[in-house]
Amino acid sequence: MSLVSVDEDTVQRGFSYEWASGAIIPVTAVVLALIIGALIVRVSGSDPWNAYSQLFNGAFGSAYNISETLVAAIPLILAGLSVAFAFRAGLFNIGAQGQILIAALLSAWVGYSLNLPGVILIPLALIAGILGGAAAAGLAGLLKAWRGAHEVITTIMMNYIALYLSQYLLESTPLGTPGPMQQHAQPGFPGTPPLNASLPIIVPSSWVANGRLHAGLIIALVAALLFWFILWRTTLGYKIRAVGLNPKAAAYGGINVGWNIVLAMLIAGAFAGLAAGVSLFGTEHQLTDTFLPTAGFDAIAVALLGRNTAPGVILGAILFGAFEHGGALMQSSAGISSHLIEILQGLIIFFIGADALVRYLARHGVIHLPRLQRKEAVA
Amino acid sequence: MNWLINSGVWTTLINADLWQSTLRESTLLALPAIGGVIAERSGVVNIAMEGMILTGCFISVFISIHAHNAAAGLLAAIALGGAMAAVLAFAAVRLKANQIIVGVAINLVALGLTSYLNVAVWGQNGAPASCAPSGGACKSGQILTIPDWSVWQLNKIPGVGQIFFQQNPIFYLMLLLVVLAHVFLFRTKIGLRIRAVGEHPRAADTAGINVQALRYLAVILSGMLSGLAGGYLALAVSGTFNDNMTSGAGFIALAAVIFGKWTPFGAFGATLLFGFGLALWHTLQNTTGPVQDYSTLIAALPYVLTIVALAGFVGRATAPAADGIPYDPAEAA
Repeated sequence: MSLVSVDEDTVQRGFSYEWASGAIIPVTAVVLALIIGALIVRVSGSDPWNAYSQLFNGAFGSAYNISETLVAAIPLILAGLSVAFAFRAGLFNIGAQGQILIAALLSAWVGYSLNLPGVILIPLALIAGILGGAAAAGLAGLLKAWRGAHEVITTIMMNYIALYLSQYLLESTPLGTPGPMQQHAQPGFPGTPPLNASLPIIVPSSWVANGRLHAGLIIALVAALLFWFILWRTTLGYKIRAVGLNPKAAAYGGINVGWNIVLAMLIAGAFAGLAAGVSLFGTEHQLTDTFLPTAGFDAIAVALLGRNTAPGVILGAILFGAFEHGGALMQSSAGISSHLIEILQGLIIFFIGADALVRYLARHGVIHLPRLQRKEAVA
Repeated sequence: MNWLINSGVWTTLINADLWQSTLRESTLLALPAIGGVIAERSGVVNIAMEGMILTGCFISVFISIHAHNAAAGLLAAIALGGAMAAVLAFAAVRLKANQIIVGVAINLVALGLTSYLNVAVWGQNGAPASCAPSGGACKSGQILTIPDWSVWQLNKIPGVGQIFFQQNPIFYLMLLLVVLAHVFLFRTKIGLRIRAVGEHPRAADTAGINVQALRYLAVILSGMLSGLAGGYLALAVSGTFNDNMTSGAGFIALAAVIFGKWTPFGAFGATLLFGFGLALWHTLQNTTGPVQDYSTLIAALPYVLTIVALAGFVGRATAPAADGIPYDPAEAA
């Protein structure tokens, strides 16, 4: 069963065409979600125009807000690439969140226990995180390939295992026994000691005062390039896409389906693991029990919105980064609960997941989709 | 063995409170798990049970306050769970959308909307105080709860009485539903058809069975049971609404479906095991001893066990053949 439908002509005509045609459903989904969100705000007695203008202002209204939106987008790009890569192999990685947590534990452990200069320490810690994320996802891939265990279920289960493991390691018990990785200097604080290095800030303070935009953005963009390169310029990528489009045909064509499922999950987990390390050394500087609480789940929306393409994931991550940072300001200045953001995310995922609904609405004249209607006329 | 006796684990294990709360936790998990079995037997994975339970929590509290009636709250939770499931079924069955994506979306909307409405309706201080109707007159504006039963005088039997006869009415309803679900799936014509639709929809279709209607029915039943679980959690267990108060119960129920090998009795057995894990975790957190420091890891046990079961180390867990796959009558076989 292929979990993600890809238009056949999309595959044949390749990369650039794909984004142009693929943008219609995501944009429609975002617009529909914003309309329903506005209705919810209106019904609950607030002004939707005020809510959205504060949201936009909070996300893009100043150089600082733009830089914070990008800061929030960094882990979402990497986690989004993780989910998107798995989708390309026909696998649904709901476990990016768990992979992020496992990776964060390993990255942070390297980061606070080794006293080395940053140029050595940060790569080491990032690699530790990549390996951790890859191992966590790879296990799900292995169980799928070897025992037929559905990756959706195993990765959901591993999210919870990772959550409780990190709570055990980072938090004190209710009776005060500190967790094994907990910082002892600050009793009761649910976090590790501070890391021994940080990623450099890439925006000069003359542009953005107190800006936090760090080199993780460059790492994320390079990762996006790597994502594209692996998928579209290597034999491995070809095999993984073939497995995703039609595992039976791929197997008939001599591709080892099981092995490529494992490889796809390993690579997907590596992207998620990098998301953890980059955020740790870029913005957090220590691992706490509130580290990236939803990035792995937001990543599902980012990947779907980005149609599992590298540029799409980047744009989707910026949109969700804007939601995250702008939503906080919307709550404080317009008094609208930032839970509205979760509603919008859910609706966007719904409309993309049920893209047939969008086509159904278009067919019945509820909304207007010029391109899709032309396609049907040809058929 | 000395450390085990000294650790306080033993006194925890022989405490009737632990076993009473095991059955409480199991009730919350078993209701959606039975529904999950029915839905998956028909070929639809209901990953949105978590969101349906959470929405059931919210609406049951809301209606319990405004109708001044706990039973009305419970019925509203069942109805809304069914309605949400109808949306999932429409997307999964009619539109042939990806069930997992739509399920994830429903969970997210449910989490966001209930948290949003929690503040919008009740303000920063949250839902109002609760009141057990049997404990005297309740003022209007309070949450009416569903109090536990003390069954005849049986709850006075030492130990066993507290565990089995000092429980919520919904616990006994759940036991009944487990049996009914088994009879429904394995002893009725419609149950046989649901299983046929989940194993081989094309064959069922050829035999004149309405695949889509049965999948709608099964998914809506699972939504109603999830809604009931939400009403139970809010009105019978906690007596209030909190953001994300289900904290993964729907996913543990999903795990129980698999661990129980897609049968109602199996799923119920799994929820007993998982419920025991949860009860043990909560109990150990508040006692002292060497084992207690690891109590958080006990919370991860249901999830570890499910992966082990899926990996086939505890007998093979095989899903219905068409589980999760939309059926398209027009598609060539």
